[in-house]
Amino acid sequence: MTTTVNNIKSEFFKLISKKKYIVLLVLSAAVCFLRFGGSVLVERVSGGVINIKSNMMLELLPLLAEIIVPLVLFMSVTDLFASEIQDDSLKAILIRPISRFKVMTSKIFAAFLMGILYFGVIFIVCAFIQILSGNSFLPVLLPSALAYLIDLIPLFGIVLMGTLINMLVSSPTLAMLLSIGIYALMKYANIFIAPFGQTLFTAYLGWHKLWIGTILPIHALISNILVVFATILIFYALSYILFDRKEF
Amino acid sequence: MNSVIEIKDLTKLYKNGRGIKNVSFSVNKGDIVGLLGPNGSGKTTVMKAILGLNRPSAGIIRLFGKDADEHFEEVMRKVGALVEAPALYKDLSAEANLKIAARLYDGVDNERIINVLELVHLSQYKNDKAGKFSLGMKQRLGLALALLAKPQLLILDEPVNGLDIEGVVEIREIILKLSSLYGTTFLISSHLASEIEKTCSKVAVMHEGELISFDTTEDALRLNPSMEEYFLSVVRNKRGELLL
Repeated sequence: MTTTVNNIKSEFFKLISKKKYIVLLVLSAAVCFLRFGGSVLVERVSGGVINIKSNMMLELLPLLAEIIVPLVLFMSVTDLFASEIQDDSLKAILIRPISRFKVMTSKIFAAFLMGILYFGVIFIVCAFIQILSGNSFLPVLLPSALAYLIDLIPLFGIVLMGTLINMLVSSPTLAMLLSIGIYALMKYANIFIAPFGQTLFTAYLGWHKLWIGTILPIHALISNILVVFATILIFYALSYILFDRKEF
Repeated sequence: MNSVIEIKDLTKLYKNGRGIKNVSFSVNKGDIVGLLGPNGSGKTTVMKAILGLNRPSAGIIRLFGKDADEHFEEVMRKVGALVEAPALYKDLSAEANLKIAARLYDGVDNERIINVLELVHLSQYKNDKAGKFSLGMKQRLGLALALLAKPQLLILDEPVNGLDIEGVVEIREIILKLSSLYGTTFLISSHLASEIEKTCSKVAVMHEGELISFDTTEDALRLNPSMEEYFLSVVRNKRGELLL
């Protein structure tokens, strides 16, 4: 366990050392401010007639959970797998006292940590804007925080989907393109090919919406939880089988 | 004698039909064994199989008396390696590369990192990105990574590749020093017979995927004026050619 945790730190350090993740994080935070600026502008132009009151944290969550973070997660797994296979640096860890299972697991969790970082930073930025805007803050804080936490779970499936694609192709560019392409197709299926689309885990990236309301749809939730966790297990197992067989 | 590496009937065949066939040898504690052979003879394949980087088609590999695959983590704590081009994270500094590796061992602290950087003469470049290093500097950093955890067994694939004359002599001195001071065991591959002659206590000759001889350097040089002559004689003997 200590070895895995230590290696998660190393893998995350490798990711965070790349400027592109910080740049994208700053740009994502800028989107939050732009959205706030838009509201202020509308209010000023309309002379105060149109006053947009919203929960900034929840409003930006779909953009974050369904577009920005999946992209970041695909980038992260591609950097940690296909890119390292291509430039031969993966050998640096494979000749150390750590099993391949732990190597793969620590890379997966490091990529997921990057997603958590994005969620955390954007949540804080949105909370700050919420206070700045003078809109209701404390009553929406806890439900919003829970929504962020719930939406993180299916994103683990995204990390594993990216990992599996990285195991199947050796080129980082191809891995990235395939990840985005397959994800886009799945999202398309979620919207336009019912009911098949609803059996894909990508249908639950905005998972928190199911938990909102006075009565929880228990049957739907159980079914969705099973879809998400089954997908995670299948992707994990397949990725490990392929990673364990790889030769360097 | 304590056997550090035991290889029995190791076979690894690639899709193109090349690879290694029925390679068997053992390396005892304190030995400096040189794997000598031309490019493509199978030296790197043997090393990769020992380190678990490839999956053998058949055969047994035991390190420190234990099955290398079953007890991978346990045996790898005692092994340092440099295989082919050094595996480095090019976006990170030399020091960061060493820190990442250090996290996987108990007792490898910052002081040890500074020591190995000094040993390979890279202290002044510790904050420079590894990707900007010359071939020789990368090789030195690769060696520092191999030495980091004070391994009992060092597997070095062409360790003097890309080094200048001074660098070659320094690496040789490091190997001999570690062997005499700490009894470190070495498995070193090279296509340079002179290098094996100057460094190794035993020599294993690889040719077309087979191990065709395994002798002490002393025995090899008893009937031959140089390691180069020894190599040529065993290869010609294998081919059935007449020795002139």
